[in-house]
Amino acid sequence: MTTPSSPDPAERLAAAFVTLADTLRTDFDVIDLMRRLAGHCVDLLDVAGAGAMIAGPDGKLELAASSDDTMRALEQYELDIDAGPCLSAYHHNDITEVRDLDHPEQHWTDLAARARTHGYAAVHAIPMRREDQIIGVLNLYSTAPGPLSLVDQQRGQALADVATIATLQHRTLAAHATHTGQLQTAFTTRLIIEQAKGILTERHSITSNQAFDLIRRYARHHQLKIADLAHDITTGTRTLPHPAQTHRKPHRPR
Amino acid sequence: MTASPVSPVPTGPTGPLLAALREQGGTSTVCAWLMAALPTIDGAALTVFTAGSRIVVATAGIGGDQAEDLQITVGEGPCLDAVRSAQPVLADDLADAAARQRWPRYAPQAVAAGFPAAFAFPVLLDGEVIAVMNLFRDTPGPLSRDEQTETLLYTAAAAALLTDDVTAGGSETGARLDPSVAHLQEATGIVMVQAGVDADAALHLIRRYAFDHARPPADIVVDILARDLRFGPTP
Repeated sequence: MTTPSSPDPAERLAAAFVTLADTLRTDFDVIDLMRRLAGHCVDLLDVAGAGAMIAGPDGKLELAASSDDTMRALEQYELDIDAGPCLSAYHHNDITEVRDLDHPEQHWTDLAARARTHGYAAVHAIPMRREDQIIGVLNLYSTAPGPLSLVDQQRGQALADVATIATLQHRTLAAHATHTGQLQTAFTTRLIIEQAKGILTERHSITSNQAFDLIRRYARHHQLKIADLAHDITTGTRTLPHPAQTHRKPHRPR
Repeated sequence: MTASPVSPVPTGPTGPLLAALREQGGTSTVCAWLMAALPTIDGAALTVFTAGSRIVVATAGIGGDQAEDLQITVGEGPCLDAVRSAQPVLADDLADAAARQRWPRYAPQAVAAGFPAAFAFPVLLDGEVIAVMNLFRDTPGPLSRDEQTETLLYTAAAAALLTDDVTAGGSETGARLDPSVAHLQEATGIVMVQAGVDADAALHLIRRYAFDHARPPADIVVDILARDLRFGPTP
């Protein structure tokens, strides 16, 4: 997949952030988000494979996305045996690394051997969390042994953070149904109504409340939408008579 | 009235930031809160882009109205690039050669106006750019990764806050606007008649008058609405 990408690494990273933070789309889908997260990790970090596991409603981790089939198989194996760095990172809520799969420090020799046969030399599992909420784990596999570089660690964490925020945000906004077009129309409408009010107050020496009343009454009388009438007023295609010529304003002593 | 296509924002446990921003006054305060969260930033402005117009719905600190006016006048700048590309635009140093090449008219004027660093983050809804969150700094230098992450949190929240404004507005009368933002538009209508110009030109007259007299545009708006200040016909 090619996306228009800036040569500036900072802008590319920021662009990745923005695509991950775009949670208010109607077609938003957590699996799709995790797929993009995995893709950005392989693209922007010095890792060969990336995958994401997300906790289901029961708190059990499930495979959400993998950058390739090998990653998928390894991650699925971890979930099947219910052990490994990714699960450890999730349960301990902390980054868990196997820096050299030839010498796994813990009891993950079988998993390590499988990863080695696919050419991987190290695993880095980053919990996806926001404050006290942990939603899953980002798993990164590299072909060279050793820890993640500081830069990659920070970038990986930042990408995981944004994906986490996006997921949490989406969960809270899932029922939201305002679309781009509605939003733009609503703001344009308000903008031109205010301008039209200003035009009428100046032209007829009336207050803004009187100007709005005039717009509303005229629209109702001529069966126009307020927004369309306001637009006509701002473009000068329609001029409204002074309110005194259409209605006698009742005198209201204060 | 036909049923509004806009459903209300669900209440209940929401993201802590969004909940806090809603409590603190929503869209109109988002820039002030973002600025407070980013100590190195000296100004922020949120501009909504619609098919035919644009509207600065919130500002705090330096840069906001001036950068907006400059970009309309010269037709280029980081904010406009962010709208076109749907990607963040990070102008660490508007005085450097790359920036001057990219924005030959905007960059030198932005530096002269006192904001030599400008960062523009698109606010997306449904995959489309609906607004841009602009950040300004009075000294050059990059925006740290933490600051970028923080800004993204706020831009995502801003999208939700803007949809709140749509829900809160009437179906016939459009989105809810902060009174100061609405008053600027009303003043624009007044100046359109006084000066005999279109909306963009009227807005430019108001802003330029404010900069020329080193006064906040909001003050000028008060004077225009009170008819203490009038703009004569523009030749």
